[in-house]
Amino acid sequence: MKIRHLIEIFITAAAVLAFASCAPEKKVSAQSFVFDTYAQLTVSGIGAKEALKEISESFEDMNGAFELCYGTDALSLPENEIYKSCLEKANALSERYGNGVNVTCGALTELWGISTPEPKVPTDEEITDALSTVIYGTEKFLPGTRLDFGSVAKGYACDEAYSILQDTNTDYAVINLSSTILMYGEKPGGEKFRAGITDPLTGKGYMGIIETDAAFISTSGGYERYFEADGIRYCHILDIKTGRPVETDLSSVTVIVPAETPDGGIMSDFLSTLIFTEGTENIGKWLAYEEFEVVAADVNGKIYTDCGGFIPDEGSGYKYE
Amino acid sequence: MNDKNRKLLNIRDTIIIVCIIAVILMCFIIPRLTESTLGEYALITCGGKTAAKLDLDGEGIYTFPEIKGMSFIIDDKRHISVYESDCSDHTCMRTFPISSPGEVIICVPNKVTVEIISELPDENKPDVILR
Repeated sequence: MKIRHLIEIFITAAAVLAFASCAPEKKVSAQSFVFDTYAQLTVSGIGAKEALKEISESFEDMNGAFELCYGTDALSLPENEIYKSCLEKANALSERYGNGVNVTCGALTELWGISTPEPKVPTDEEITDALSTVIYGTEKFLPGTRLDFGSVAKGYACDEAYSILQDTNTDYAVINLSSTILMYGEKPGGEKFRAGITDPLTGKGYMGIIETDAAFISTSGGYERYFEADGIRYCHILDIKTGRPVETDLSSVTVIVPAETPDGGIMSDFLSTLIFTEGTENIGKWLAYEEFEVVAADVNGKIYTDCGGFIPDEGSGYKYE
Repeated sequence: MNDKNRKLLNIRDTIIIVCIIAVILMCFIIPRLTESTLGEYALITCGGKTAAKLDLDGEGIYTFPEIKGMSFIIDDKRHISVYESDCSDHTCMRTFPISSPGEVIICVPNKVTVEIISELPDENKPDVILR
């Protein structure tokens, strides 16, 4: 073989490699408004298109099932596997971690009307009536019991997305439902996923960034959804012990659950709300669990965390407790 | 020796090499040159469709025919926020003004999003922002 041919082969190979490196990644994205938020889905891999279509369709189905519950007595709801399964999973979490989060509190949610055009502070009598419709564990629905999946729907949806991603040929994905996200698979080059936590005291910028392998991550806070009456700010998360919006000294709670954890999405969603409602008083108990990590900030800017991958933002002014 | 060198790279080979080098340069250099000319802007969408791309240096109040009942304001610090909204919950109006790439304001009832976009590579930018 002549030297000239060798050079030609070498140059052709170099060109092919150059083109290959320029080839676009098989990454697809979609956006939609579901679960009362803005969903941003990004999936990469050979089966990305198929996975994205399946996830989008399943989110629409779930959204429809959960919306149907709003304003309807649970006893009158048509049989539906989605909300039945979500209810069972939420009950299992209550049994394991405590019942501070309860999806049968729909009558209370509707009574306060937070995030509706006309929120109001109800009377004590109205609150007592609504509280009497809340049930626990496997108790049967009462007349007036209503379901509100707001505290777990996004996590439940992320679990479904995880199953779909596992059954399709995908490399990695970011399923972003604003307060709950699924970071799936492995990024190119084995890079860690990076999730910023909104600064709860200013509502903008980050209080820090979590670097993690594949995981479900949920954040709860009262800094965005609330209403004010007579100079008092009422956050959208309700305390089912009092029937009133939660009064907590925490401003933000983020829970990180490894992606391989069964039902890890609903678990992260449920726990972030539960820990938020309990305040700093019980934070030590939650930091001791090994199956999940926590990053919590109190109203004075102190951070409580057992998350090795958390990098606080230097300029945010937060300090470790 | 000179004869041998002349045979090694004739005119055809030279043309092929030049073409390949040009293609490689186009693949690697042009995208980077383009990136460096793109700055940050606010992308406003309604119902999933782009309604506007606003330069953050353009201080003022903006309305768009595609988005009824809402207006947006860019202040002198290059922050954008929702100025007015006829939506049911006004969560979008309570969201703090945004200015950093990746930050988003969402109006669920009106299906409107405002997001700060930057085409510049930023290694520190997170994949997602929890809120």
